[in-house]
Amino acid sequence: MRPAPNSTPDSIDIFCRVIDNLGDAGVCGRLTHQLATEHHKTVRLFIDQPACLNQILPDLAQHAAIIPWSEALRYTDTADLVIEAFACDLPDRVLTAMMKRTIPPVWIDLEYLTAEKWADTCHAIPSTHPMTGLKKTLFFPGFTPLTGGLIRERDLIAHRNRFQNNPQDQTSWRQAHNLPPPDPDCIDGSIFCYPGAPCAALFDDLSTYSRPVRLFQPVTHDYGQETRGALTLYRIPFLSQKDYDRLLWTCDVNFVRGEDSFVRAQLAGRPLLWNIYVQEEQAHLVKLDAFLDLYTTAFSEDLRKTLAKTFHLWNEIHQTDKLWRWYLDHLQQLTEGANRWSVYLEMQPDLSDRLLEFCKTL
Amino acid sequence: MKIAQELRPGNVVIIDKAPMVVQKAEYNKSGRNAAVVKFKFRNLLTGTNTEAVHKTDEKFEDIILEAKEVTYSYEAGDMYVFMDEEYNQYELSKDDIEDQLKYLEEQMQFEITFYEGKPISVTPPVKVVREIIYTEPAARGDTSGKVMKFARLPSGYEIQVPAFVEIGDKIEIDTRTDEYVSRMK
Repeated sequence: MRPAPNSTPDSIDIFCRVIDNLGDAGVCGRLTHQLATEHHKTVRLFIDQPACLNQILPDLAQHAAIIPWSEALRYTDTADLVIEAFACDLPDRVLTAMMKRTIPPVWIDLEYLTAEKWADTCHAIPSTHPMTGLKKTLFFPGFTPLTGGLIRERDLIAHRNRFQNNPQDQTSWRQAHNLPPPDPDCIDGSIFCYPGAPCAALFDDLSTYSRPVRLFQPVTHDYGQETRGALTLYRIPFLSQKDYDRLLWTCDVNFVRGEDSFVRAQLAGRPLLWNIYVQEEQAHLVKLDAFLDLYTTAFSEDLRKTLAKTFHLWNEIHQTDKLWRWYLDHLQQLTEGANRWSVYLEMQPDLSDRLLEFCKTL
Repeated sequence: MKIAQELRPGNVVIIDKAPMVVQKAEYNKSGRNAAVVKFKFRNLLTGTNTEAVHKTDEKFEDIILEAKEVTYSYEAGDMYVFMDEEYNQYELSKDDIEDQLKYLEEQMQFEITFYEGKPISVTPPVKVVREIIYTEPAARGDTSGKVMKFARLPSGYEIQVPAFVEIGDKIEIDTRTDEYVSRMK
């Protein structure tokens, strides 16, 4: 049964299909974990490739039920809240079970993150689904108070601050992951990008930089270390979400991609470069510009244009400008802006709070 | 059946057993997100207005209503008056035609729709030609048509056009999506 109005749901079902990378699973796993551990909800994650969670969220099964989602799925007992993540299309048998429930569940369609303005006006409008009669609501994660916000655990910022202010913690963590200790003479960065990202041009440029640059790149194979001029590249094993946060926190700059690592890098309070998921008809560039319109306001005016240009550069295969040195030359000012942006995000309720608050309004 | 993307102001669909007329339909598409349409519906039984957001591929049961060709005549207070070939006049409120105001011009042809004998909406031609009254100058050399900018129509409505479009140009617009189609020669 769904709880009375003005209360939040007790049980939550999240449905997720892994499309091509780990991003969808990463976001759904993170949300599942947070709803179960912080909000004490009974959560079931229905996912078509549960094995991909083993590495990134190894303890998730201790807090929530992870249920393989296949054609053979039997689904009869619907939760108070059903989250259909990233347009994964709920099967008919799930919809039928939802329709049969005495009090219908809250049905949320959790969409991909976007900074585009239209998401502000389309977010969280309960709409009667024409074929089932159930109320369905599109929920858009985003960066403004008018959207669904971002996933951010309650203690994340406190943990981050402690870690960033404690060099010994950083050294210990690095040692445990076979990484060199922090060195004030070096610039450290993490790099996680799609195969189309212009890494070769980036590495060329950094190899002739005036200070040593160390890049830490989580990969699934071919681990090792390679030095070219000023640049040393460390190919390290994939990290859990918890350890990946620490990698972001300990670096001076983070190259990230997609959605989950992109959000975590913003919450790291350090400068970032975003490799966006490529779409047909260059639709991703509209999304990139929408983000930059918001993000760059956290930076001093003289940096904004060039900063936006570096983001575009990181999403082009053909490199025409050598802006990476500019980026590293301005790391201190960029860090100040990245901190301001993080504080702006921290001031807002996170996605799980907004989601549960929204359920109260129905 | 119609999918959400095909619904236009004036169409009537059945939602939760009630006939709902589409008053406004805004199409939005993004990178990885599903394209969505934000609707303003009016319940034809109760007269109440509702907002809704649906994915473009969601299916709706639509109902075919009586319709006829009319011409827009004039504005009278809050009402807009349309006339058929037999000089019958039909009045619609601003709410009823909110989504059409951006293209509205005197003597413009529309199709008017009736529900139980009452006019409920008008639909413009699929394509209309309008003059650009303001837009920023184009950057030199860009003739690809891929770089877009905003341009203002006489109604004040702003539309995305290729960078090569200039003030005074006449452009063809698809009224179903409010998208630029071509520049008229």
